[in-house]
Amino acid sequence: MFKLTLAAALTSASLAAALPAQAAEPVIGLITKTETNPFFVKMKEGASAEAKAKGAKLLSGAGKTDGDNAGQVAAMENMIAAGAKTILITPSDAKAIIPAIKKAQEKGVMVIALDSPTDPQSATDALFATDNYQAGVLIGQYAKAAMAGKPVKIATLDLFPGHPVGAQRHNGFLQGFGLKSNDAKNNELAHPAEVVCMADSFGDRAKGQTAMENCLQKNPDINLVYTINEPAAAGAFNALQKSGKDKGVMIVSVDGGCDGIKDVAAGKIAATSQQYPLKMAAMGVAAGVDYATTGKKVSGYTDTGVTLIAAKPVDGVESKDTKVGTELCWGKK
Amino acid sequence: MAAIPSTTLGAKLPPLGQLGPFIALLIACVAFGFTTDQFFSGENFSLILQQVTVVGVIAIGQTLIILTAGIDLSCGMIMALGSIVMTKLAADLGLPAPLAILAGIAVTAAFGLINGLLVTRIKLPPFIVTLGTFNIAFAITQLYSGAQTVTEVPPMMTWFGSTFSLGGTNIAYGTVLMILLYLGVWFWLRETGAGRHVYAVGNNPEATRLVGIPPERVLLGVYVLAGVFYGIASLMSVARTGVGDPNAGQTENLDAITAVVLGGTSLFGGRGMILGSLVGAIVVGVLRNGLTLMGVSSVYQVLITGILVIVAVTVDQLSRKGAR
Amino acid sequence: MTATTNAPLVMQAKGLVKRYGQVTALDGADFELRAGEILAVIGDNGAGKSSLIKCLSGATVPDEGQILLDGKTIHFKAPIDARREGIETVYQDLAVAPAMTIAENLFLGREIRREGFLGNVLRMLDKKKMLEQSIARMNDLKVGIRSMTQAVETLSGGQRQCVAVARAAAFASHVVILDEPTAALGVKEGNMVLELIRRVRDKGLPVVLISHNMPHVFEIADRIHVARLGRRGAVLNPKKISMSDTVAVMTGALPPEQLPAECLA
Repeated sequence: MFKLTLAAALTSASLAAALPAQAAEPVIGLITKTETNPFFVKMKEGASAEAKAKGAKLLSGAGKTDGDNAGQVAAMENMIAAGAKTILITPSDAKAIIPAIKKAQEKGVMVIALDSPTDPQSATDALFATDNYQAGVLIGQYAKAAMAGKPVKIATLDLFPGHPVGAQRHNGFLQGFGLKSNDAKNNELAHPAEVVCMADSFGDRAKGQTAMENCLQKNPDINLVYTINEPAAAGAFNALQKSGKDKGVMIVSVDGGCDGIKDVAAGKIAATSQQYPLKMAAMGVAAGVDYATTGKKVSGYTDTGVTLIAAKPVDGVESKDTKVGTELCWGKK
Repeated sequence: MAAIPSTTLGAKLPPLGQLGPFIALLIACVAFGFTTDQFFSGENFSLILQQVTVVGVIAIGQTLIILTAGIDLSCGMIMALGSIVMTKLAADLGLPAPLAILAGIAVTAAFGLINGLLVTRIKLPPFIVTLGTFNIAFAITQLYSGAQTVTEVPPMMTWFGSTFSLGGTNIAYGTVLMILLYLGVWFWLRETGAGRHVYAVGNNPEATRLVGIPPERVLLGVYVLAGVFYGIASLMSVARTGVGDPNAGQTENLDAITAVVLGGTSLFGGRGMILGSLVGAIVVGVLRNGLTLMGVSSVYQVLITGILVIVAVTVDQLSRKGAR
Repeated sequence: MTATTNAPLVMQAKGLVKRYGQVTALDGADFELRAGEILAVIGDNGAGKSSLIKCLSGATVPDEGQILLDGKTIHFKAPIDARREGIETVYQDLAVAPAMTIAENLFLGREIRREGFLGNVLRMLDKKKMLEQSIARMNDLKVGIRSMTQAVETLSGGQRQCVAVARAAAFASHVVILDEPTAALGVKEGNMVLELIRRVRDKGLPVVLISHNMPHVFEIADRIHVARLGRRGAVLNPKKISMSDTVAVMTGALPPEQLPAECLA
């Protein structure tokens, strides 16, 4: 109950800020999973910048926590009531959000999913996303080439059980490495024999460090670490450094935030798959403005792309260097 | 009420309620010792202690507040704010580390004061107050840090994360500090009038008023003191991760409460052991570590923790009923 | 004449007035408490007995009137002022922390600190001394509780009342005021408390006892102060007047002027 009220209060606050507007200005709503994840913070920044540039009004809101569907539904209803004709949403619950989306579409609102699809994907007018599975595959391929046939003992520092993004990146990594894995639709984490330790990092530095420490206790000769995102990777590096193992262990990650690219340049992370949250959001805003001015809806799946960033390139796997990574990164450069 | 069976069970429980957390810890350690090779080692234990230090220190403040029949949902967020304040003051303003650390602790204590004033002057329930300050502290942290991690951290701030050797095992200074803080607060709660008054206010605030101890004064002191401990936890967090992380502390709010409940302190106030909270924090760390060593999915860690919390609260309830 | 009719006055109130908005709770009430006596204060609801007691214990400040202690005029602004003058009050809800021990409750708010460095700098409590004194005081008053280290919540209602009364007696130097001490107690427990009250009086502390329980009042009171309509209706001698007549005076059915002189005290 309180989550709903808080989410509603949050959206009301941003609506109140948005209200002194001309009737002609396109109103676009952006609903992220949470307010706190830096990925969504950047997404909101990208959307705001694009909205300002195109003369649109951006309303923003989010659920209270990852998985808070009710909060997102409330935000959507409030935004539509405030005149939003396009809703951009990163759905917390791919299935549960569908009825609210249908209701919005019946009112003539265009709904675009960002970053992760609804289930079924066709429930939204369009999907601008990054392929998290592919992101995993790229770093898996890099790691395979970089390890050059050496026997591997892998630790995976995952998000937390049941999260689709966590599963896709994890399974994609294993697939890219050439190990037995699950496909992109599967939410279960694959566990081939080469993976000697799986621990949850919650995408958090301190917990990533704890997870790495515990894995090292279990298996001191881990030589390859997959991490769900760069803060977890930073924590893992800390743990390795404290045990004096940082030189002999390779860390790969996903995200492409500027802090993460710095870590790649510093040699802490070997390779990371860079994703483009600002691009997703900006494309979403542009589509919303288009719809408001021309009435033309956007449709289908647009992959906003993922780029492998590595300091040391390896044969057979295409990657860009950290200079490119820094130019394209999201966050404070 | 079927009083007869529960009073005989309950009458045996007060000592059990106090020993419970230790027994749980013992069972967990023995179980993991048997099922894995790597659990029983000095190095592993030292690691677990380092992993639970931040939550452990936060739990000291949380215990004091829960003893007064209050609760603090903002503790983790205040801790994060403190770590951002101290690291940014050092990085942006070039403030010498000791001053920056004190400034960080001053900020967390100030938040404790705000919590305390809202509870005692405006007479709002602690749950509601700290739910609000939880969001306020988070927002201030994000705004002040620009959602950026502070990576330039003076070496003095990370000193507590460094280790010394004791009989071949590496122990972190932070671990020692945490244990010393627990012992200090344990002494204060047991042996001093002010400490006993914390229990009295939690047990029957009207009684304390009638004997001349204003409960508001005790409560205010407890919230400010808790804020100080959150500030110390901020330093422990910086020492462990080496950075000022604005996204830290998000799960620590509930983790600290879990540690206190597992440690046998009653959510109804007036009863509990501060050392129990340390054991509670360690139990969670042991579960996480042991299950990872066993290769068991972390979902079971969550399940077992949840079961233990229910057991702890049930034991507390039964022992209170049996006492009457 | 009762045993205490000519004993020196310990506490006295003259012409107390207390108004709460339109309601006048005390309308020129007088009061006299003599040394070595148990004075019961009875009265119907709204007769002003709780307002009277609140003025005497410092919980309320009267609008008009005088209160004297040992002949000296005093002004209580808060209960702590009354306590400083040695007047201890036991309230209906007992003011104990149930989870804490008897010894701790006895000394709550008045804890004894250890000597020297341990007490002054570390502020450590002298638990041994407090325990010893608790045992001594309880033995003195012949309260039959075995252990002072058991939690108050493990005691029966009557035992808890005894602890509260003993606490008041331990720290009072002038007057002990008890508000409905035997309410909600069974026969045996009630008698236990009455015994204790007698012993407190015998130790030299006068007791003011508010009660609705006529049998108990008649059992231990030396004199009975009847509050009526915000004033002192009469002071009666329980040895000479019957219980039913007392109730009649209390309700106004029997005007005190009609009583024979020996019924008054």
